[in-house]
Amino acid sequence: METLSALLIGVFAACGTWLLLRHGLFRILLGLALLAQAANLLVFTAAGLGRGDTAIIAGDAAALPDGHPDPLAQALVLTAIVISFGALAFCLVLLKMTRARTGTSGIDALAKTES
Amino acid sequence: MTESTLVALPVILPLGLALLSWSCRRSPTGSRVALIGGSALLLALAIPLFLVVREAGTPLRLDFGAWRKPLGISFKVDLLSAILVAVSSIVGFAGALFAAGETGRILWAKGYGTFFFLLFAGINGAFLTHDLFNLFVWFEVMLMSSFAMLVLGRRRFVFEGATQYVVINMVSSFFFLSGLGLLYGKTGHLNLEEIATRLVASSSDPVILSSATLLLLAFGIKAGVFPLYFWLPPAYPNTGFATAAVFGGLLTKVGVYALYRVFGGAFGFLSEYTSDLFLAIGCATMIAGVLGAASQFHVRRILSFHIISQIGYILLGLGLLTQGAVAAAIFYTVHHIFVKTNLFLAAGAIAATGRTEDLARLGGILKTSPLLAILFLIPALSLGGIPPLSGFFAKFILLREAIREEAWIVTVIALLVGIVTLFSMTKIWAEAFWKETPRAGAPLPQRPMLLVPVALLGALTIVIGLFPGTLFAIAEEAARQLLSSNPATMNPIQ
Amino acid sequence: MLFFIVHALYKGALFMVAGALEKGTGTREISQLRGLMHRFPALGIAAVAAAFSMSGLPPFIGFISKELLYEVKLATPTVGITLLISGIAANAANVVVALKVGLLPFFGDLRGDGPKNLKPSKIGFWIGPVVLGIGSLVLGLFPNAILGKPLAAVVAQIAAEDVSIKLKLWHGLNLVLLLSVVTVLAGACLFLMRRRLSRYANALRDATRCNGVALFRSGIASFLNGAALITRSIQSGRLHHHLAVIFSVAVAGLVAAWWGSGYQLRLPSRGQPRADVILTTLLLITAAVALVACRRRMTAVLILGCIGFGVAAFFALHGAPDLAITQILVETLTLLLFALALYGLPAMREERRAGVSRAMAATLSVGVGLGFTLLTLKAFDIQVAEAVSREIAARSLPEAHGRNVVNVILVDFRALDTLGEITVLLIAALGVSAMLGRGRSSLSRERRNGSPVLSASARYTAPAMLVFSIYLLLRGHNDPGGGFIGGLVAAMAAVLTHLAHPSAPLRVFALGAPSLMVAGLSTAALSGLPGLITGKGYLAALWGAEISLPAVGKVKFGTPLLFDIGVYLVVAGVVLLLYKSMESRRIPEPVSPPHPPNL
Repeated sequence: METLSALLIGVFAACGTWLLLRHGLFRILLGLALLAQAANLLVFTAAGLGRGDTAIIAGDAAALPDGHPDPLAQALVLTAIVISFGALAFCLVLLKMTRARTGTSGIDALAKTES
Repeated sequence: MTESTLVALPVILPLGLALLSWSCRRSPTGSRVALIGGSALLLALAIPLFLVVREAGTPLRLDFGAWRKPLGISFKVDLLSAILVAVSSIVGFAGALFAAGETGRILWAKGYGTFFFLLFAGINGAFLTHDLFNLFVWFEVMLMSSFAMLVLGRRRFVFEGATQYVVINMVSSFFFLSGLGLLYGKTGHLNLEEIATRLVASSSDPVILSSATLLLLAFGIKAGVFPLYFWLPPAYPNTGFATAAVFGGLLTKVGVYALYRVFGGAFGFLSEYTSDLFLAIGCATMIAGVLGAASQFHVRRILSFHIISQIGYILLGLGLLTQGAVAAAIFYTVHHIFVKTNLFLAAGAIAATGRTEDLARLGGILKTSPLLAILFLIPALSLGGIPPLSGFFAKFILLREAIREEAWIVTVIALLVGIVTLFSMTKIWAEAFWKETPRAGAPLPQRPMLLVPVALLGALTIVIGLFPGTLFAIAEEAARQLLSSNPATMNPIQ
Repeated sequence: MLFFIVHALYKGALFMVAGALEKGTGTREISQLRGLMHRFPALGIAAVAAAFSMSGLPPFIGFISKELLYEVKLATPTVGITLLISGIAANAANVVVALKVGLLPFFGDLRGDGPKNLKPSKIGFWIGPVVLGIGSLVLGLFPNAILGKPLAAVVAQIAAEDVSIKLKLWHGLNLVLLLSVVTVLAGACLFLMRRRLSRYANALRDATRCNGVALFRSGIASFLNGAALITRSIQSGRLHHHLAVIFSVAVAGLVAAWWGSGYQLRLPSRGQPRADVILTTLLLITAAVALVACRRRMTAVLILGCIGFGVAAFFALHGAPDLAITQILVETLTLLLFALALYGLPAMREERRAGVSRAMAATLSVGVGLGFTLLTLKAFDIQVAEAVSREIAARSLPEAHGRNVVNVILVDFRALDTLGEITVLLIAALGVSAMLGRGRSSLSRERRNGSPVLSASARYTAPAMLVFSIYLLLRGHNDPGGGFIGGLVAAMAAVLTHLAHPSAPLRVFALGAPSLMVAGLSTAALSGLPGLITGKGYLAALWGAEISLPAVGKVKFGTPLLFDIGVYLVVAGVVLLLYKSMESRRIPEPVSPPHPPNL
């Protein structure tokens, strides 16, 4: 189980890196999205995977049962999901603008702003 | 006002000010008043905070939501945080004055003031918080507002630089989040002190070392160290000048601060691994930055590369990690924030009168605007380390510590880099001010409004130069407080 | 310390003299400058003063600084001797240079072949050097009065030692003075023999075909070229190269960290295999690989959406319903935004040579992937017995009055994070809208009236969705839901209405997007103030009555609920603004070829 999710995180990270390194700006965005997923899954998994029950206290209980999933990690991931969504939306528009302004997908033109 | 209110307000007040700026964005005058008034208010808040922390001698704490320390989010304001908040408020005020003179109606209407204050909410939050995930959140606030400010003007060449900036910083966030997730998994805590006390027993655990590596990468990218600084030079030179000044003065320094906070304080026990690494990174950063600057002929590109080389100097303190060295680095940071902001603002004034930033096409400003010439010379010489300005003492103290630790190679490199820095500054001076007036047309008359913040920061540089001892004493105390949060040396009763 | 100041004084003076002379005469070659004393008397005096100070002649300040340095060198016996000898040699050379620069141009006859077009000097040219030159003299005469105290103070504060600095001209007849005399004499001798020396130097130069000046110039030039070369090779300006460097550093760092700590792989053995989880994971892995292989952009976006939903399923299977719902909603929204963005884009050609080489990319990707897998595996053999979340979970119901611990953390324990998070969202939306500006709706004219089916369904669905979003908001403290999820649903209701009636404004509760965001952030930020006022601190929860609501159940009112309402409003506003900006197709200018900026 854990080994499998570790593998999943690794595959996400590898595919994200590949997309970042090999392709144009559009795929760089896809890569960033994939990396963000990898990081979220890492935070979620590193805190320990739950057994299927939720971090919600049942109606008749006063506290969570033993072996509950880590609610703090879930809260962190939730925040991270939202933040990476905001950043991704911003990037997407940036891509659109770069394209509109330079007429390329924006990366080769970058070299010209340097020297 | 209670102390805890004083600690919370540097983060909360900018949020309110941002909303206020948003509501008056349609009127340029209203926006200007809100920007200047608001940043003055922030300054009026940061100075008492600094004084209180200095008076108290121990860090102030604030547990948000009244949840005691490990449960909720805690701010811990030691002297280092307080100094940096105060310094960034001063820079913010100067930047606001310049922005009020520089920014046009369209930018105000798009919410320039709002982003400005949100940026400071992020910066202050990052300086004050003592919680790793909260630090991540403030970093993101800071980055998103800087992204927005970067592209606000929609200038033609902004987007290329902005793309690099955004993409690389998102990769940095990925590293940060991964490292922090691993640390949380390992320790079950997010508060830096709690993490540190749990880690000290197992300092060579692979998870600890690799999460430390990931955090180092994340902060290193934000700080602009070698070889992770690529996003910086293309991004800064294409914005408004006030924006570039605030970015250049503060953003990288937040990354450096995070490095000091984590690797000097909580992770200080890793110093057997990190100290040589930081010395090496510091030297490489100095050299790469200064070579980059020497090869440029565009005022703000030169300045952008010098940010990098100066970051190298500041990192030396983290490599040496003695109290004196850290104090020297803090001194250097304060000096550098003022001077760099000042240079960017002066560059703005140069561009406003010379109509270009290209050194080959500038010239003759000495005749038309001698005051600007002097005001540029102050931070320029200070950056080059000429006495009796602040930069001289900053370099002197740092080098003395390096010599004391017998880091000879570092010393020689630092001296050489200093000479090249001076060379770069004289290059700008000679080309923009001294050279004959270019054919393209005489410089425009200077707008005095733009010189006020330049003069303000210049005066601060001189004051630091005249009374270096006072600042150094404060920096030493701040260094002591920072290093005492290293769990390896921490008093067990605390 | 003193040496620095002195150095600045005379170097500054001499440089300025040189600059002024160049201005005045049009040349910098010392050999051409002679007898300028009567033309530029003030400059001459300044130059002489600076030169004397540089050579360490009394009564200038340079003398004192040199004395101090000698004294220090004498005091440190071992290293001192070498330093002393080299110091004397260097100072003697200094004397030569100083005399040459300071004296030669001003004395002697004005040569016939000298500079012709002498311009009258302006005050601006000579005032600087004169002040500095005089400064050297004054400081030399009254060293203690002017510099002693500040110096001692600075040094004492900086060195944290008691240092008493006595600066004076006359230390008495001692070894130090003797050394000074030797230095000056040696320098003076060398100066007088300069013709012969320069003949030797010339001979040497002819022999080795290298000229000092040319060497210096070419040195500077090659330094600049080298700097440009190095900078270009590091700072190539290609995003892919930069990313490749960053990932290489990451892989190298991880390898080094494991090398230093002796990583041993142990596969975690906890937990029973579950078919549903295994299936989801395998599907996700396949999808990620498919994303890499995929050539068409729209397909790639769809695959990304599948991955998002798959991750949501992963969360759901591991007991995180809030995460799953959020992930699904966010993913839907991401899909929508991607679709809108692609809709407005002209067909793009993928650059052929966009990235780094295949081998490089493959190595780095595998490295990063392997690194993260191994890291995660290692993270499992940790027990988090004392994790702070346990205590949070224990206090959630009695102290924070909520059964959904995740939501309690978001709005109470770590409300500050959430405040930052909605701020990030707000900035992103405002930034997007600022970038795109206002524009026309991209929906075509015939759709402007909306399709009848859509409009009929929206008439009933949208209000229901709005009510449902409020229900989600209210129950969030005890069950999956909360402000974020509720806000997303509310925004979707508004988007649905807008699709049905494109002419209708995008609103939630009759508020436009910016007003929603401002109202929301204010509400969230202000909800912390009651705690501040009552002295418990910012964002401290204050609780009021518990009310039973139909369908929702018991809801306890308090500032955390207020905070969650703020989140709800911000999220709704952000989504609306994002949708609005992306939906209006306005690409600001026709595609123009990129020009290099001011070089």
